[in-house]
Order: sequence, then C-alpha cells, then structure tokens
Amino acid sequence: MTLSVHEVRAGYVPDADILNGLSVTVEPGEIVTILGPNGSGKSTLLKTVVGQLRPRAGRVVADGRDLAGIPVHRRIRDCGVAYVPQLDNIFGPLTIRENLELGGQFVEPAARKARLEQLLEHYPNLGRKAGARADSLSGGERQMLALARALMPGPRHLLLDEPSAGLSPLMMDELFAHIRRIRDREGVSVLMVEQNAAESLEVSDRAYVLVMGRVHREGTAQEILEDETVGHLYLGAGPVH
Amino acid sequence: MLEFCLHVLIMSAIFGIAAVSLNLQAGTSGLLNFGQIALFGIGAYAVAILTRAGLPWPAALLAGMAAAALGGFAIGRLGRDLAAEYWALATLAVAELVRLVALNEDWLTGGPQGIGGITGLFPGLDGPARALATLALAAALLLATALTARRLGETQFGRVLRLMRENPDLATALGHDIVACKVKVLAIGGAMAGLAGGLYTLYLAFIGPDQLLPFETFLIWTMVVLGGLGNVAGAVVGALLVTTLYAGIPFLKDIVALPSDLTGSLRVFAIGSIVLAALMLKPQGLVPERLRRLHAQRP
Ligand SMILES: Nc1ncnc2c1ncn2[C@@H]1O[C@H](COP(=O)(O)OP(=O)(O)O)[C@@H](O)[C@H]1O
Ligand SMILES: [Mg+2]
Repeated sequence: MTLSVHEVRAGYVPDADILNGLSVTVEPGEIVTILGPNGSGKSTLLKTVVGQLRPRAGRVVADGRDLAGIPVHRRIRDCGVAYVPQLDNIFGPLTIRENLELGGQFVEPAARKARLEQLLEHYPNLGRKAGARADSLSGGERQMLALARALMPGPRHLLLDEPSAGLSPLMMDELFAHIRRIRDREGVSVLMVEQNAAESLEVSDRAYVLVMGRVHREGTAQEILEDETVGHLYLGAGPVH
Repeated sequence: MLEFCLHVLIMSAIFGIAAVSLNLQAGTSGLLNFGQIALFGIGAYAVAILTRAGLPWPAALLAGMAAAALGGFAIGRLGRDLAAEYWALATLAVAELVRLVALNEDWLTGGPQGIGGITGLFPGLDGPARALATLALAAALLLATALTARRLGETQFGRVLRLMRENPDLATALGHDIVACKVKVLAIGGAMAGLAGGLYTLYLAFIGPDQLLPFETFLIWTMVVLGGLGNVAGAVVGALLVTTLYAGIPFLKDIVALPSDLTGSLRVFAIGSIVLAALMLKPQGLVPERLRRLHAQRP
C-alpha cells in the first residue's frame, strides 16, 4: 500500500527535464504534502504519477506494481490511484450526482449506487443539491465535489493538486480538516501539493520541499514547519516573527 | 413545384441523418471528422454494389451501415495517439483516399461513371406516390437517428463523451478509456452516415465518385455549424436550410437568366457566404451552449 516515486525524470518537451531525478514516498495512510516555489515541478510530479506524463527515467510504484506498463485510464481501476487536478476538476454542465457517477464508472452498479448515497451523506452540502448543476456550486463546494468524486471508486491513493487554492481562510481550514477525516475514514494515503504551507503542514504527517524538480528538504511536517530556511524561502511564511 | 419540394425534403432528411451523425462526433464528442463524406460514401457504394448483386434494399441498407461502421471504427483507430488537429487532417486524407478508390477501382465501383441503374425504393409506385413514400421512409429514419443520438447523449456514455470533449485528461484520470470511446462514437456515427449514404443511392438510383468530394463534407459541416454544434434538432434544421439553398440555386437561372456554368460556383459562394454571415452575426450560435457556459465561468 505504498506509493513511491524513484529517481524520476520527466518533462514536457524533449531534452528539458522538469523533474530531475526526484524521489518521493507515501506510506499507507499517510498525508504527505509537497511544497515548493511556483514552477518547481509540483504539478508535474502528480501528472507523472497519474500517467499524463511518462517518466524518462526512474519508476513510479504503487503497492509494489510498476505503473509504467499500466495504461493511464486503468490506473484508478487497477492501482487505486485517484487524482484531483487543480483546475477544471469538475464538469460544470452536469449535475452533482452525474459528476459523482462519472467517477464510479467501474464500480458494480449496486455498489456504485450505495457508494453514491453514502458520499452524499458524508457531504450534506452536496447531498442537498444533488440534482443541481455542478457549476452552480461555490469554490469550496466544487473542491468537495471533486474530492467526493475521486473517492467514488474507493481509491487507495489520493493525489490532490492545490486543493485549497482560491478558498477563504475559513473554507481552507475546513478543507484540510476534511482531508484528514477522509484519510481516517477511508484509510487512503494522500499526496497533496500545496501553496498554503502552514495550514497544510498542520494536517500532514510528512512533507517534501521541491526546488527546480529536485527534493530540497524532506522531513516530518513538524520539521519542515520549523525549518527556518524553508520557511523563509519557500513557504511564503511572511515576515519573521 | 410539388416534385421539387418533395425532392428537397427527401434530400434534407437524408443529409439530416448525415448531419446528426457528424453532430454526435463533432458536437457531442469533440471529434473533428473532416472525412464524414467517406463514411457516407462507404454506405452509398456498399448499397449500390449489393443491390446490383441482387440483395433486397433493406438488407443492403443494413449491410451498408455495417460497412460504414467498420469504416468509422478504422478511422477511429487510425493514429489513435495523434493530437486532435492531426487526426482531423488525417480524416480528410482518408476521405480523399476513399474517393480515389471509388474513382479508380472500375471493377467494383464503376470508376468515374459510378454505379447506375440501381433498382430504387418502391419500384411498384410511380411519380409523386413514390416520392411521398420515399419521403416517409427517409423522415422516419431521420427521426429514429435523431432520437437515438439524443438518447445516447443522455446516457452515462454520452456524459463521458462530453467530458472527453471538454477535458480529456480528467476523463482519463477518472478511468475512462477515451480511445475506446472515440472508436465507439465513430462506429456509431459511421453506421448513421452509412444509412444516409445508402438512402441517397437508393433514392437517386445512382452513386458516383463526385458525390465524395471534400466539398460534400464541408456541406455537412455547414449544416451542423449553422444549427449549432452539439444540438440534435439544430443539425436537422441546418440540413433543411442548406439543402434547400443548395437545391434552390439552380432555379435562379430560370428566373434571372444565369448561365448554367455559373450556378455551380454560385452554390459554393452562397454556402460560403452563409457560413461567414453566421460567424459574424451570431458567433455564439456556432458554439455549443454547454461549452459557452463552461468558458464563461472561468476567471
Ligand atoms: N503543459 C506544459 N507544457 C510545457 N511546460 C509546462 C507545462 N506545464 C508546466 N510546464 C512547465 O513545467 C515547469 C513546472 O511546472 P509545474 O509542475 O506546473 O509547477 P508547479 O506546480 O510547481 O508550480 C514550469 O516551468 C512550467 O512552465
Ligand atoms: Mg502547480
């Protein structure tokens, strides 16, 4: 139940690696946060794990299986790897219920229905509006919908790209608390990219700081939070207290 | 005049089927098939060849649909890793390839002369009765096609197609095999286009390679775009509009004494003008409504 990235190199155009031999591990049930300045390759890392980018070197392994031979669309089904991209992560013209169904295509119809009802219960805000168009939701609700949809097939690994982007401080706290609850309830491991370092580290077990496609620092959430150079350079921690 | 009206309506129904098919591919699924006429042509030639060989027309029509579905399947598999734009160009090339085969394989297709003398629909009837019966058949098949396309759009498969159009990466991440979806849509769209082509052959009792020119694909695209991409009823209305105009222009020469060699160019010119006018006057009408709302919500 471990998700690991070994010495991966990847990029968008030939001969220009964005990830320069990067290794990251997420143990079962862990919440791991990826921090780093803009353009350091955080989103690229997630895209490489889900398969939108093919590693040029190195391996991505989930539960002992090398993902290289698994078609991108089979990764959720065969390896339990679910992904919530940062932008355009819901389908606005469809209803909330339909959005959730899109995430549960490969679940047995009966189990899918039960799972859908269960998630609508866990997310009462969505449950109340199940028949409404997804683009009528607020930013926070959209993020919840994207999360709920990712949970439809019961994944083992959850990849989240800046889930708190654009949320108010209040919503942000709620979201991070929620991510923790998901982990406790579903037993998934979470690998999330975040800009809001302090808030995300609070709910995380461990963290990595990426710079230029390399791991610059890694440690427990507490260690990273207390690391001064990290705080000043990359966490956007603001003025020194 | 009645005969002309019936003719226009029959042709509208036939091309309406081809337009509904293209709308399913391009409007619903975002697949820019610039070789639609090849699928139409495969159905048309299959029906011509099979009826000439003695098959009754309903069986020939079904076989034509199957052949065109296979053609769609092949186009879908073709360069399945190609980016959408390159795939679109490839479809144009495939359509030209199909036309060149029709033009050159005389033993099968009759070459430049095409295949004529086909026993058409309802040989027992004559004159207006025959036209009316043909219209009823074509209209019924158009209705069936349109309802099928509409139903399909409301199923889970249809929703996946729309997601594939808007956000293929997300569709893939959610576990949907978009190459398989693409191939499926092209096979379904192929069967529909093949039905249109087969009806065309049966109605005119003739098919020739000139019917497979790229301009014909352009005409079908015009119907779909005028009606509003992604809109089944719109595709039918667009087909009626374009067909009426296209068939009506030769009549101008009786009214304003136009040299007949001009009417061909005038047709192309008129269709082009309509597309331009529509693009300039009502650009939002040329984009599917859902796409528009989605874009409007972005910051
Ligand atoms: N689709 C793309 N094509 C080409 N380059 C890209 C693409 N996406 C990101 N990049 C480049 O890759 C680098 C890392 O981007 P990204 O992983 O999105 O950074 P982060 O998420 O850490 O801000 C940046 O230099 C960016 O310009
Ligand atoms: Mg990013």
